[in-house]
Amino acid sequence: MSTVISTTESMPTSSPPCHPLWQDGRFCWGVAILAVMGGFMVVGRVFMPPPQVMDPNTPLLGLGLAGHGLGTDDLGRDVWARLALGGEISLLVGLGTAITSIGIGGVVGLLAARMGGWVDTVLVRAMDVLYSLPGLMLVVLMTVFLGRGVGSLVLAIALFSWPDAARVVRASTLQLQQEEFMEAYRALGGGVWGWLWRYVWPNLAGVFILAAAITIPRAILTESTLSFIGLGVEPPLSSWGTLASEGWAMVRLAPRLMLLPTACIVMAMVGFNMVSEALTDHFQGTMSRG
Amino acid sequence: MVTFSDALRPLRPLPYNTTMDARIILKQLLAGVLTLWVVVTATFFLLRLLPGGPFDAEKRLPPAIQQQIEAKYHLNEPVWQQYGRYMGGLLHGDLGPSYKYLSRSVNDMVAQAAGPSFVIGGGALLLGCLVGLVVAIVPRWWHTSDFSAGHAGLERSTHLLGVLALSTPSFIVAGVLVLVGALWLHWFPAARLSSAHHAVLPIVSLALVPFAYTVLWVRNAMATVAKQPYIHTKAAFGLAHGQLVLAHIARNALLPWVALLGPLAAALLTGSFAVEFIFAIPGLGKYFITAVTDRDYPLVMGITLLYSTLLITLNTVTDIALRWLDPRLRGAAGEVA
Repeated sequence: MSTVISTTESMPTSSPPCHPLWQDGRFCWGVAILAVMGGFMVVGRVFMPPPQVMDPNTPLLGLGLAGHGLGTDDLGRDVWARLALGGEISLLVGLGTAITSIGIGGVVGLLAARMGGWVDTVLVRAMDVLYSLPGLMLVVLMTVFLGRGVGSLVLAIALFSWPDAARVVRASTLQLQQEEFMEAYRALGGGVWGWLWRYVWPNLAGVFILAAAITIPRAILTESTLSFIGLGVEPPLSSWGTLASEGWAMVRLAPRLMLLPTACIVMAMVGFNMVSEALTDHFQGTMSRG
Repeated sequence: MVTFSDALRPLRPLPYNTTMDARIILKQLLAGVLTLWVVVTATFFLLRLLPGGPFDAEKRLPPAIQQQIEAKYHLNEPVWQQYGRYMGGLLHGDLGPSYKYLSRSVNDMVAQAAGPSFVIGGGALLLGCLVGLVVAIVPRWWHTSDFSAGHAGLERSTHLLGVLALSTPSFIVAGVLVLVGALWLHWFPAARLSSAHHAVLPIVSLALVPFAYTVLWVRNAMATVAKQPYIHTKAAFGLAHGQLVLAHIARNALLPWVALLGPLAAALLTGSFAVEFIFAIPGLGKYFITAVTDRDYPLVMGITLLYSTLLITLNTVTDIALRWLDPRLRGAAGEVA
């Protein structure tokens, strides 16, 4: 009995050299959900009839009928393929917004943390102002101004979501500046570019990923809400929000046309939210501001 | 000399520095007014920059009539004069006439549309926060042998529930609720807002937003507070588990949640756009969307102004409430929320 206990205690605890994130259940589940969604979309794009093909002879087919895994919509288009295509647009908006927000927020966050003083005060104040504004209304106004393509949507959403990224980057940079090796670097008279390249980039790469993981689900949420009320991407394109909106119009005839895209949105959101929560705990110890 | 019983006593409030606090609150109010001015100005010029005017119809009006309309609404003046005129009106509380609904003032329309929006938004905030607090606190209060930990399985399912609620947009909940509650079961009316019965589905679907934030934040904050040494000390002195969780852990964990109420209201507004759309409720969100597509500038401005004022006021009130609740923040410079 006692020998068994002693062997288990003396076992090396770090047997496989895997990243500590993989020991976080939320991270594993999130990645698994996103992988399943990815597989679902690949199947829809590769094995289903192309989403543009209309067949007026087979409208509103049920699940699992005649070569359409998830049936057809009112114009006889394949639902699975349309979901896959819509997912591409939704993810594109999410990723694009994340990259744009990190571009703006990263520069602002780094500037605020490095310059300090009045620059920091002004930038933080600007972020607070943006936080205290009705974001969705201003995004709607911006889309009227910029147009409703994928690019303009990305820009409109990013214009009001960059403070999230800036806040995270600023906090981490301030923390980095406290380190002793940074004090040594400053004492040796190191310049800005060396600071960026040798210290900020290697130490903050994970934080940029974290900022992306926070931004993507919010952007997908905003985009799908906009598309649902008819102010998102315009007709030749369709996102999950658009599909849900079209399905809503026919909810009495075929509830599945609304339920499937909404299920896709929820799945993707859960996946991204779980990953971002795990990343937040990993990089910051506590949950960031919501 | 600090004794153990001193350590157990609740922190005595610091001497209340009223002048300092008054100065900070005044500063915040000024900052709020400045923010509002920036929003109004930016929205005003953004709308004027848009291609096309409010009276461009498919069929061209005779030039004389067009001119008369523009003169009536002062659209023929230079933009700066229009801006001055609008700001002048604003200072007297006048939001101007609507361009689309002739003979109605924006004040009138906003006042009318605000009712349903506030009923649903307020109801959702109340419901979501109350249920969220219960769901967040119960798993930790559920008695286990470990003094500050709660029921592990319950905690995990609470977290999952929170993430799921956070990941579900309100329009999806609203759609599914209408489908199940109204179309399939016929328990509730599917649209409009003419009685309390009608308000149930919109309020429930919108309540998911505050519910998700409350559950995740309070749960997270309680886990952090429970690890603090003073909680261990209190438990070691034999404080009852329920008292420990409710009076000490939860009470301290609620502070960051109070700070969240401002941003939460903003998230509620986002949801209410889609919920008003689904339930065909003539609220501010619905008016805003039609006003944007109709180019009804004064109405767009009026609603934007109302929402911004509301949010800024909420944030300031939250800030003051936090200072009052947390003695450590009294007299502290800067914003706490």
